[in-house]
Amino acid sequence: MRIADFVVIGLLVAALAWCVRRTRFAAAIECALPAMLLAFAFIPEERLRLMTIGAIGAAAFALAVVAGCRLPVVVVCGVILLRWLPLADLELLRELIVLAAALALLAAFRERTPGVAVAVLAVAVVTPIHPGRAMLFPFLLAAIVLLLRDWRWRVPAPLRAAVFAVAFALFALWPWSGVVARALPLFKRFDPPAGTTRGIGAALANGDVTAFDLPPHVRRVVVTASGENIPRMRGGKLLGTIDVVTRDGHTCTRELNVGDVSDFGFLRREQFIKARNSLPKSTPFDVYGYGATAFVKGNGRVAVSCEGRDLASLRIMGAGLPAAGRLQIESIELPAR
Amino acid sequence: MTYALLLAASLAAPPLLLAGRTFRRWLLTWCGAWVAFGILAWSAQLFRAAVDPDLALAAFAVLLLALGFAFVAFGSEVKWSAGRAAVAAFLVYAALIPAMTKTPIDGDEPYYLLITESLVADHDLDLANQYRELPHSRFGAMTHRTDLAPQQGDAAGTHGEQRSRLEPFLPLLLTPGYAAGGLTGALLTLALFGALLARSTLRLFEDEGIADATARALFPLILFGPPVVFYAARIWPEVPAAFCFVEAVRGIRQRRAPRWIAALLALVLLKLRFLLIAVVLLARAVRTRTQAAVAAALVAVPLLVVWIMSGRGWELIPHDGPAMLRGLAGLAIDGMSGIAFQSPVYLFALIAIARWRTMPAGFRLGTSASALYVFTLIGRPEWHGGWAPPLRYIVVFMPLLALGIAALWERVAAGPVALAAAWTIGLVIHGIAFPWRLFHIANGENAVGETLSAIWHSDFSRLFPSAIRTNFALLVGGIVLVIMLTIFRTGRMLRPAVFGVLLAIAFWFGLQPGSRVDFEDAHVIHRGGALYPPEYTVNRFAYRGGWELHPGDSLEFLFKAGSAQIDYASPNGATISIDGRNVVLPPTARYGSARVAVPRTGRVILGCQAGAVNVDRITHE
Repeated sequence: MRIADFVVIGLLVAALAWCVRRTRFAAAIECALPAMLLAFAFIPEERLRLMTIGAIGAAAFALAVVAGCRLPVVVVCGVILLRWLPLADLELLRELIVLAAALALLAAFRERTPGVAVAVLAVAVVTPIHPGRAMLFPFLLAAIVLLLRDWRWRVPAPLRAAVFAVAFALFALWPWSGVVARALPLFKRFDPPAGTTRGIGAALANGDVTAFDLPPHVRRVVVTASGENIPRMRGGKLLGTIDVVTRDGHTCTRELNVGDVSDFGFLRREQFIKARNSLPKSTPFDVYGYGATAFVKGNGRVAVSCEGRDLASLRIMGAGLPAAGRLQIESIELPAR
Repeated sequence: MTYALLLAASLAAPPLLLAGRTFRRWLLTWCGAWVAFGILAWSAQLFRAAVDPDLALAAFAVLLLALGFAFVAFGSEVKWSAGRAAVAAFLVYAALIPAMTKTPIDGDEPYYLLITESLVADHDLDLANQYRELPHSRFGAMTHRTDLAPQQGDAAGTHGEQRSRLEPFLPLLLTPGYAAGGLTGALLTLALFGALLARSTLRLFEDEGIADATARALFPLILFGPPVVFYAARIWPEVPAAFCFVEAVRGIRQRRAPRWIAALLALVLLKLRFLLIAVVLLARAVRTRTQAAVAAALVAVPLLVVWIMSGRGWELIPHDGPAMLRGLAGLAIDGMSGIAFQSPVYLFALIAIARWRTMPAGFRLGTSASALYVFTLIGRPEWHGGWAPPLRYIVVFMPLLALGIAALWERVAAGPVALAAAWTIGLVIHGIAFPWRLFHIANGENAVGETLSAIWHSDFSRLFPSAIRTNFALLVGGIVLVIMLTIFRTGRMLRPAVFGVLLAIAFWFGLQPGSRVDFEDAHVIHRGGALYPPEYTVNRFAYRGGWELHPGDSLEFLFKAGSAQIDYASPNGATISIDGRNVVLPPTARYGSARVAVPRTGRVILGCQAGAVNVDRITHE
């Protein structure tokens, strides 16, 4: 996190504190500033540091909402926090349009409640800025809300509390708001490595082959791979094949399709809307970057076995790829028995 | 499991005090907190954040408790009474026991417990057989302290008896609990005293006209903040003594002689040194000849008993004068053992003392009673409490100091209160997650400074005042304290944002090379060698210290270029190198010094090339 980003965060917290300056909560919200500084100083590990700063920021926002800060202020601060960092990658004009759209959506609601603010921020965080017309999505929603303005709906208090809790936790992940915006379903598909991993680093074009011998007593191998230059390929399309040969001469073949693995960067902010890839079924959840430009790598983990037999070798071939496309074999993992 | 009880207490304690809509809101928030915590814990795995699970659970448990007591403080439907608060306090203190006993009991704790064991098993105070049987005894298995040996000052009998120098009254109080439940039973007894202290403190507030709203707001900061929270679940006489002191003050204020007589007697029996408190209180309480006779007996009997048993009457006599100022400053602002850094809420109590005349009568009585005790304490080399959690020797006064805070509370701006509360929560989380760090060697550093120094390899400890190894920060801190005590009105200038800016400046300053490096400090990268004297040497603060080097060992540190003086001890002389340039150090009988040249500002490597040397410090000239 750069100093400029830190300054922006500080200003946002100061704005929230100013918003509730006549209440007892202002000082508590201001405490987020020294708390974030202390987190920076005391936590050397970058991910944990960002997560702690994220939680502190979310707590400041939550307190501001509880203290009755005017919702337009909360929405503006929230949109800036969720979408404008890192400042180095900010596309100001587009983001100002999204901000205006969020405020329009807020204005469309008859009642301005904390739940409405949560909904508006949720819409704002997922709104893409590429292509340009996607930025108009909140305006469209605002029009729909205006039409349904007379609807009355009560949410039971326990459900409201649960929604706020989930919203708080997801808001606390604002250091990786891009991941939350574009890859939330991947949270359920996390599959961490559990055995010995061997790095490969092979990029296969159509017809290219890479092969490995396997040590004894291996019945299952997990291949971690991703695609390169394949974001427009739809789910289910063939990318390659994995052949495993058993010690007694049996061969099993497994196809590698889009959906098993995806393009490396299809979850990037610039590529997401145009990409046709589907989310990998199983992911090591490798995160790159931070803020609105953070993304999860589109690599996937594919387990291969052959009728429970001991495997002798593994052979992976690229197939069905476009001319510039590559199948990147990152590693193979031999799960612990 | 360590935090399961604490998490349960976070659910069980607040409902004792909440009702109606406030209770429902709290409950929903509590449940929501669990949902949020679960998601964040899962996310930490996803994002591969290197979370310490122990610290995370401790933080979550403390924050849940803080949340609950925030509802008690600010809620509209609260079932408030001293009795209910005491029950809530007992639940929390009892729940702390697993966390506090993650590591074996330490300091004087095992000795108090050993006396208890002797009382239960042998019905005597002779510990000779206890020491002999340690490796195979139930006590040894229970406490994992089979390394105990008679302490300095313990009395030995003519027939091989071994008596402890510690007063036996606390062990006597612990016998029922210990007999029923061993170490846990003893700790539950202390927790019970903690609950009694909570009740008495809140009754004192009521007696002195403190509003309920103030009491509710202060209650968690005082009773679940340091130092009380760390002594209420550990085997020290401090919390029972605090309870006795509060009851004595209340008894004198209400002119209920049986109450204050019993309380003062118990106070002095807990620790002979508290006689200095009792004397002053007695002088304020005595009105008739009969009472004067009782007072004389109250002073003479415990003095005689303890003198006969341990011969320790000498400690009532004040010591070295010049050290007293340092001890007083240390109690207030030392980074390791001072109020400012170890229990910042009590800074408001210091302000209350400075506004003596406007304080409630009970506060004036209590603090005047403390004067003689503090006067004799601050001149002692172990004013900081020795090998114990911070502020040990003034825990007894905390409830009375809390009364001063309560009297000031409505005047204090939200900013300083929020900062003090946040720092208090941080201290509690740290103490619960890392209870062994409550004990810190008296080397002039502190846990915060050491942690920052170790992370950034720069001397952050110098930013914290130290009365143990006096530094410039002590002078600055002392001046700031005096100014604060003089001009404080509401503290509204001390906003958290301003404090954040000051922190940022301090952090930048901490990263700069220093002009003095003590080689045993945490920011120095030690490659070989050994600490001198060893870390757990008894009364280590009385030694000069340093780092012993032999050929091949080296130290790396941040320093300014130029001429410097290195202080060292080397009976046979040694050759060291500084950034590759050899320097011959002549032999010294004790500590000597030599001039060296540091070629450049930045990271410097000091290596031992020949001989053996204990290098203490290097100071820029």
